[in-house]
Amino acid sequence: MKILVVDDEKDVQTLFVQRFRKEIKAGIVNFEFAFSGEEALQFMNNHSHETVLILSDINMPGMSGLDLLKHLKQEFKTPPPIVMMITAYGDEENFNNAKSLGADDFLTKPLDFKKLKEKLNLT
Amino acid sequence: MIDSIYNFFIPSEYKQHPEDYRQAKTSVLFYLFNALGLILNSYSGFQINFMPFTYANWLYAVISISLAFCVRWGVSLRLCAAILASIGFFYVGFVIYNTGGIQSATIFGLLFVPLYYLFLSNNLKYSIAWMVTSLVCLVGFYLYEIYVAELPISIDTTNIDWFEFTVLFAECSTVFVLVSIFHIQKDKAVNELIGINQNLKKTQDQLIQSEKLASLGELTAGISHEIQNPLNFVNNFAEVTSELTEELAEESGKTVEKRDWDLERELLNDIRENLIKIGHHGSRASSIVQGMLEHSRARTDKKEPTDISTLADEYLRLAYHGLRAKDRAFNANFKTDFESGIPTILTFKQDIGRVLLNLINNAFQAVAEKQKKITDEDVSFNPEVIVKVFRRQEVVIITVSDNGMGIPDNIKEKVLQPFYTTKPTGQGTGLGLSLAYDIVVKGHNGTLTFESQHTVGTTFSISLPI
Repeated sequence: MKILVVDDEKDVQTLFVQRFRKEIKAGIVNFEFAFSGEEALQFMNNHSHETVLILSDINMPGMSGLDLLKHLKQEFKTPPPIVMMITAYGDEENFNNAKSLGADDFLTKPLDFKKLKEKLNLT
Repeated sequence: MIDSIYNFFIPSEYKQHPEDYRQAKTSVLFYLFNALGLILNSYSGFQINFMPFTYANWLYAVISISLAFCVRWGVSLRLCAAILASIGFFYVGFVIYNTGGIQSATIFGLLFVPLYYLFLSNNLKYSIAWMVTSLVCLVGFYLYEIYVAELPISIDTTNIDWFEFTVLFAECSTVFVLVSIFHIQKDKAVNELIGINQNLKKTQDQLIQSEKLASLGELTAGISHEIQNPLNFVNNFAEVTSELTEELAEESGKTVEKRDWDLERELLNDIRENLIKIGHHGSRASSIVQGMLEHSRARTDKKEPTDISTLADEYLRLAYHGLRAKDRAFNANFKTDFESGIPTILTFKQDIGRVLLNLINNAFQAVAEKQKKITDEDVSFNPEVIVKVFRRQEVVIITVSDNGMGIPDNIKEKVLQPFYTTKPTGQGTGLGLSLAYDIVVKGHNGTLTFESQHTVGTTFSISLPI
């Protein structure tokens, strides 16, 4: 399962790699990282068929998570990737916007990795 | 008593302009005192057996009193002063001519006329002209007496001492009274100004404080975002690290043959790196809190070494997230270009921080405004704010550039003026840029300049000496 994580904070990469150490070693998941919306789109243009899940932060400089979501839902229809948006706690407005743009699921910051693993059926 | 004289003679319009009112008070009081002096002095005419002197005094006194009434009737103070000076001139000339020319005590009166005019009209230029005229007359009398003839003494000389005494007495006391009135009025005006100035300074301090609080309010959202992010990392890395230590404990509990040494080394390495990251994000959060405290604190009176790049980076992020939190639709790219190896410089750190925040906020608002306009026209626009820090010889230069609408030429001169703002009432004090200018130029001997091209963008540059 290939997962693309989109966040402008570089340390997110280290965090995911360590949190999913065992799963990565076992070859169950495979993470890719993009540090901006633009980078994520570029990656998707080259690897759209392999990627099944995209985890994206909303609050990013340049192309925001919501813009990225819009592009993903318009441009990549076969197969449509599952997009999970990461919102700040209590941010109703972004939550609703993302929902109306077709986000498949939500995670709130700070990330609860146990919950994420449950959602990914990894537990 | 004096107040009722003022109220009688001075029309109420004068009260609207303190300087004119002061002038009117001086004039009226002088005209009346001058008349009084002349009437008392007219008695000397009998003593010296020269009645024209008495009549001239009475005439001059009547004119002087009339001038006070002229003020009441609205004749301009300058015209009154000119009339008084002209009449005074003829009066003095007449008396000098009849009382022995250059040796007459009245000769001093010739030199007092321009002085009267100066204090009554407040017009230095014309009083210089009067002075020149007086001096010419003086020289005229002198030359006439040397080359033509001694002027006759038409008065009874038995009482000449008395005459000279009264004339000198009258002249000196009139001048003294005039100067005193003028001095008292000026003094009052100066004290009033000092009071007003102190009030203004107090108000200005309050305004600056409220400007600080306003910008702190703008920051709050940005600050909470900027603190939450590193705290999330601290929490997450702490949690993952404790998992790693458990894993490591488990591994090291195995028998020597079964232990995976590579894994242990890897775990240890990760743990060490995570701890460094925890420290990094923790200090990131605390530096933001520090910055916030500094921002709201009244200025310290000591400059501290400041890393301009770090400061610029911090405020760039705060401004960005602050605006994001206020306006969800807002988005912009920001870039930094910091030259390495820039020495720390001594600054009032929170002041410079406020300047940067102000410039960066303006830049973001400029691109946001353009973005709103552009979407109507459906043209692609990539809003961008770039902050650069670099060194040129002995100065550090910070530039904040945006590709917004630019500043229209007709307001370029006003943007640094206090209280000038293009924002709706209540949204900006109009003090931001003028305070920024003061902080940079007066507080740090630096320069604050900007270049702006309409529809293309604006660049503000600060230079601070190292």
